[in-house]
Amino acid sequence: MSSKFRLQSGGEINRSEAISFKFNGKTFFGYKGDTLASALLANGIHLVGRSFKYHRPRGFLGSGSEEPNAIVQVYKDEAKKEPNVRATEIEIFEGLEAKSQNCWPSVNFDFGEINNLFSPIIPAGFYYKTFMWPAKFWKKYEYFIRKSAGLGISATQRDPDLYDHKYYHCEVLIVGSGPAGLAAALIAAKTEKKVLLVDEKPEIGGSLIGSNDNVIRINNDTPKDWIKKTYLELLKNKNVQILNRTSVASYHNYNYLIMVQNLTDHLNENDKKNKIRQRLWKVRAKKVILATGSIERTMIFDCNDRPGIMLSSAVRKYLNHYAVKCGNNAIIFANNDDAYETALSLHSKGVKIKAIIDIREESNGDLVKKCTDLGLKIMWKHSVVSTGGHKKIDKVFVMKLSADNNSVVGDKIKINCDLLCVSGGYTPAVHLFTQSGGKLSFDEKKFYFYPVKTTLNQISIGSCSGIFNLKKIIQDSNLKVNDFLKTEIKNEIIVSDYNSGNFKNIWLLPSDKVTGKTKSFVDFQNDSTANDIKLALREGFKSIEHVKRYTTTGMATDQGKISNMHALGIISEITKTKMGELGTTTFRPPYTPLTFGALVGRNVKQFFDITRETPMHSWHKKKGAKFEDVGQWKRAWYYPVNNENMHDAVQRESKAARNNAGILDASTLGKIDIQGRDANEFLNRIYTNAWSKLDIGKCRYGLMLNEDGMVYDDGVTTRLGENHYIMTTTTGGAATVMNKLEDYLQTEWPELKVFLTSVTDHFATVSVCGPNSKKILEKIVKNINFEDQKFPHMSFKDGIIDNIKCRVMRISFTGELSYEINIQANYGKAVWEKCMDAGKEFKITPYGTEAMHLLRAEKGFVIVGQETDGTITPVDLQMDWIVSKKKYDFIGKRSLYRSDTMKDGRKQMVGLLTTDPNEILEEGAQIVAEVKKKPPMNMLGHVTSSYYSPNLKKSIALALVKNGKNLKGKKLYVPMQNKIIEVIVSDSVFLDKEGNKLNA
Amino acid sequence: MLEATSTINESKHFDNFSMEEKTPVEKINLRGNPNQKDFTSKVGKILGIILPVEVGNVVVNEEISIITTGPNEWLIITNNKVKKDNNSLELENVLFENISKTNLGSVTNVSDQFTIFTLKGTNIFEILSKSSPFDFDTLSNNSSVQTLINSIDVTIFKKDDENVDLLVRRSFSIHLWSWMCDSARFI
Repeated sequence: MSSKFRLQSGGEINRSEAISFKFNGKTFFGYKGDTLASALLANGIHLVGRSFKYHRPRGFLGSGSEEPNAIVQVYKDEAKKEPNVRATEIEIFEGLEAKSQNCWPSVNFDFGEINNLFSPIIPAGFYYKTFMWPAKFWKKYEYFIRKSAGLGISATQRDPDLYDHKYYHCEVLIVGSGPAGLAAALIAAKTEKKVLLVDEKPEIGGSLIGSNDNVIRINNDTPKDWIKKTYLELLKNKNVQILNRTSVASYHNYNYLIMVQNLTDHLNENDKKNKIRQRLWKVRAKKVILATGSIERTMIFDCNDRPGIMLSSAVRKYLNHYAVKCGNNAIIFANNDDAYETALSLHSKGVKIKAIIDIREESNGDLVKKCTDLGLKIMWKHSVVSTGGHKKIDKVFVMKLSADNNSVVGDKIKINCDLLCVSGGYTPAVHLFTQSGGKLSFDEKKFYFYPVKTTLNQISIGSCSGIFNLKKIIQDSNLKVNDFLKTEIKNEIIVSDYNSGNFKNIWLLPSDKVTGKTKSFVDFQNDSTANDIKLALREGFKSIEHVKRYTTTGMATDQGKISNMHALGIISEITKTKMGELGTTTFRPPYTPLTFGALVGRNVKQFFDITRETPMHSWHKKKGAKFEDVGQWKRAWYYPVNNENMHDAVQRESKAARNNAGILDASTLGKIDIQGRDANEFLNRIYTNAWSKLDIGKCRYGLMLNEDGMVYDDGVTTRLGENHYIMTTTTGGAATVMNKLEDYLQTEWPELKVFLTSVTDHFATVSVCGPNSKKILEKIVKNINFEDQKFPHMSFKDGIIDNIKCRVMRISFTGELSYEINIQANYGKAVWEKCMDAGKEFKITPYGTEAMHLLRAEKGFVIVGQETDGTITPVDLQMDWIVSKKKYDFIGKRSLYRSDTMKDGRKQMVGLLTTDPNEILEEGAQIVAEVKKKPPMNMLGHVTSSYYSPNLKKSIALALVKNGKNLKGKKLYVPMQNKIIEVIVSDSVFLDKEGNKLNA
Repeated sequence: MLEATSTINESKHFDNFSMEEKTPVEKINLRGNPNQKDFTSKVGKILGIILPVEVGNVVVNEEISIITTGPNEWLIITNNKVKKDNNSLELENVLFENISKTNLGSVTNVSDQFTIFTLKGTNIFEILSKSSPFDFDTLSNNSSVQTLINSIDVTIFKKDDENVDLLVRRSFSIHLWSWMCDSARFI
């Protein structure tokens, strides 16, 4: 099971558990604890991907979420393939399959690499200039642009994985479990506060993971032993919860953070089954401690992107944590002392250090001294000017820096190698801090942005606050955390660290070539170079946000974690602007990409949307009803019999309702119980019509307006007692009407003594209509005299069905003789069945919402939301009769007298009859007076409702038409795609205008 | 006789979590001004209990529980199971005569407006926190909170750490039940 770059011993991998996996179709082996990156490196694989634009060979740069190059396609099957996953974050498991992306036919031989040859003519922004002309070629360009856009391949089938959400509240949230985070956790644990410690890695430790045991000691332990002891110590505290593999995606105001916990991606397929893959945590923390660490910088020089060129800290981690040598002949290229720890680690593990190239003049740090003592060759004040090797680095070219560091001088020295470890210093990871609204400041001496100001209850500690020395990190964290938590807990952590020398920064290293001949990559994933940034500046882009977009720097999946600082630095140098004045680009969430699955959670399939069911739902279902969604309700739409289609079913149902009896489940209508001394006055103010003279036991239709005078809702309200009413609302408007009424009572009319209670769910409503409805009701409600004089239209009676109290209203939405039984919901189904039994001899037929719509359209009754759209007044609906002229006020009254609402020629509701009675108009179709050969045409309005009426044996429609009131009898046209339909404007009431049926 | 049908009629058991629909009991919504002495004293006399004032507070005696659902609103849950042979509520009638008819407030029978799930076990709040943004650590015994579970309005009456009544509007109950069963699979 040996891999040629795997050390014989050491590392935190489990050598007793070998794991096989496939990469680009070839089987490799690694160990439990390996990432895909470490396992491939152990097998000597560096070339893993191709860059986006030039298709240049790319290998691993880092070892964590900052990785820009090694993004791969994880491939299981069509449903589970996932693009753009960082190989540095994939923990290998038995059966893992991954492959390179953005290459064809293979990563080793990629036709796309031809782009690299053309790179001089396709610099940043070339597409903005190139594809402008000739305009007619755009379609051809678009084809190729679309083909080349994007990385990887998305799944084409439904994601079979399970995702979950969790809300969590804690007193202290610590983000990051490096030395600072652990120091904070040890203090917070002793406070007995509820503490949550999260880290994106599978293990805690942060930057201490992979550090050199011979260099650092904490409490006389090696870093890894101290981490283990600390972990066990924290576990003893019940108030502390530790989440690994959990990345904070975003940090919002009021200490609200979104985190993604990866639960099963590291398990083999069998162990994953029936388990949640990822959980989205929605955390509200009283206090947040950010210990998010820092990201090592690369350096910008010609051909700095070859496989085998890696961040120094990453090489160290692969070596010490995964026991993997990234090469045998290494060169260190540095501007600080940290890289010397890598040199010492590599040297101790038998890797030959060919040279340490340092752009500084000297350093008096402890590690430098150790390297010197070991006889390692250090080339002070030198810089790498270029590298060689196609699919992997095989040499570097080094030159001496001039005295002013602006150029290179002397001979170009070639040094062969297979690994170049670059260390350009560290950038504090301030992403979450800025997402939370925190302000940064730039340290002109240390060349980084650091947190300075926040309005939230949070602190930043450790290297994310700009402290990089371990001893100082611990000291500073102890002080800050104690102060933050208002504690005085002694947290004794004794660190034996090394003294560091100075740090020297050059954003763009000088080269022996003219700038245009170099390829000094700033953004590795998007192939944007220092030249591109210079070009953008030459072309007039000054703002960092503009340069970013023009060059696409920082816009790849790594969100510029590696590239942004250098881009800013180069702009700053060229424009002679101070970095602090230049500012940063916006750090947008998520910090690392997260899956759609995690965002959606379990709101899929039957849980995609909430559903509401009426008490009779099971009956409708049993009878094969088709349902439609109305608001969140599942309403019976129609009841097909003998494979009827919808049209046939609706025709049958509506004929039955007119000729015999129909039964409708109207339970979904909103119902509000209104009680109180001022209930009557309240209704007068809510509705447009007068309510003062409504007798007890009577019902009245009301229209409710918005403040702007537009129709808001409608329904029938019944006076149950002296100060007791029950209001019905539309199905979809129930909740908003209730809120609006409550709002008015609490804020506008506190003087009114009125109390509202929603009873929508308390009552089931069974509506029986048709000429036989009275006979049916008489059979089941024994205590009511249904004679017309005793129980006329628009009145109500208390009824009893088998000892159960109910309310029976004689009201109608179909234009037929009709009764509504309102009974406690639990009895709804039984009453419905009783009506069906009683109605059998009268050919009672259940009808759904579609037939209901047809029946009411025959009668010209409006549906709020269908005939209205928030711009229609009662006058527009030709319902002037319902607007009281005598009332002092009602909601929307003032707006009805505005010049615009009163003007002539507004869209008004009319009926439409097609010249061909069998032609059914499409709802939403536009109406014109004059047909032109092609649009645009002067549109007068649109069809709002359209049906074929089996009762009238012709097509009928309702429409909103400009000046419709005055167009009765006029011929208009409805232009459709393939034909023009002639219509005649008619009255909107098509059936029984006199209301004989209602009063029958 | 009309058969009354409640929505769920079953119980489910999971890892340290069980739920069942509570047999329907009488519920009355009461509204009125808690600062009006007439109102509070009449209600106190009829119910034999002083109305709690702070929203979320619950008072319980042998016959009823009163949940304060708003600054001037209470939900009275009686221990009386809904009768099968008639739906006349004695308590509603008394309250209606004394409170509603005298214009002191409103009294509304809402027995079928809500379905009650009885939740038991140590994992109750683990399930609820999958979808409710409320911090259940702050919910003390014998108190209630109105929150959202899976975007559905619910009232949660915590009796103790392992015994909770969840009130949900009847029409949402089947969906919520189904969602909670699905959630409980992944405790």
